[in-house]
Amino acid sequence: MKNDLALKIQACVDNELNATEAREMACLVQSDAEERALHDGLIAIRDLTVANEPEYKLPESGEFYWSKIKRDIASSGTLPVRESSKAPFWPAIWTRMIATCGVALAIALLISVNRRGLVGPQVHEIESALDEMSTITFHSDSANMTVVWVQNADFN
Amino acid sequence: MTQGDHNAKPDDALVRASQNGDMVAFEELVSRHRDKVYARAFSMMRNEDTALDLSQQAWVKAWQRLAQFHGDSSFLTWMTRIVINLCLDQLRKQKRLRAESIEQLEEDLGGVERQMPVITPNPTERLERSELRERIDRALGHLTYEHRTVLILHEFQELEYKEIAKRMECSIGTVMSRLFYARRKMAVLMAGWKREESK
Repeated sequence: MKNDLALKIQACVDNELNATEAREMACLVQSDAEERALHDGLIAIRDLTVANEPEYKLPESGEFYWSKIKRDIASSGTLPVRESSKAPFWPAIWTRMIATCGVALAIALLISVNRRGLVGPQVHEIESALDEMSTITFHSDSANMTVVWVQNADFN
Repeated sequence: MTQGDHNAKPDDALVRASQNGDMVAFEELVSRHRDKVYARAFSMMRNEDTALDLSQQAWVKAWQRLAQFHGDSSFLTWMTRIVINLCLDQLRKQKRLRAESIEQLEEDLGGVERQMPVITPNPTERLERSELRERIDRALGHLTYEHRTVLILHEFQELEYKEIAKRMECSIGTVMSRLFYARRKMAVLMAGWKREESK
């Protein structure tokens, strides 16, 4: 007998076959002593195991066991789920919306102020080319303008 | 409300109270089912500390997910499912659900051997039930966790092949061959101990 057949006999024992397959298997098992022995052996060990599931007792006191569960629940800060789901959720949504709008408004205001140059002239010294010529160049982003100041050092 | 007030209440009433934040009701549920939840964790992990830790994690998780329990199954069934999933996750983390254990290799090379000693509880043998349980426990301890897990999920949790395959993330064929191998090994071990005694 092949492995497939052995597994099929087991599937029959476990009621995992459809009605047709189960009937075929029952006939097969009845007609062959070897297959019947396997079938009966599988049933015997299954029933023995199921009927005698080992029992394991908690190795510590129930109070001690519960105390850790309680501590873990408290430290996880979890509210009773149903309670929190019952709580009205509109305040939370409003808070979130107001915070988002506030941030967006602040960004828009900053951009606007920047564009209008209200934060003061953004003047940068670009270069001072030569010491003796005393040339100084300024560029203003807000005014979109570059000013070059040329001064002879001898005049000072 | 004290725990004593909850003593007479059925599980579903305690679950409803717990869902509304009644921690005392939840404590009563823990008190009723802690042994079974711990036992399932121990049967899978075979280690007291790990079983304690995972079963306690299961209770914390249950508290956090109480809203998801709608009473489709019993509370204990739901709890057992949580602890089994935690055990399977832990076994995966430990990479213990590997396919290359010696026994797996043996199984793959030899296929499923057909010889299955017929074990029938003999009343004349006068084995106490506790002794039978002790032997089955000992035999379970000789199985790899892949084989033991399949056996536990099938025989004790009464799950179908398809459900076991889903939980263990393997094929139905693998479940079938693991279950066959596990039963055969159990039968061989039990028969061997019986022979030793009769000598």
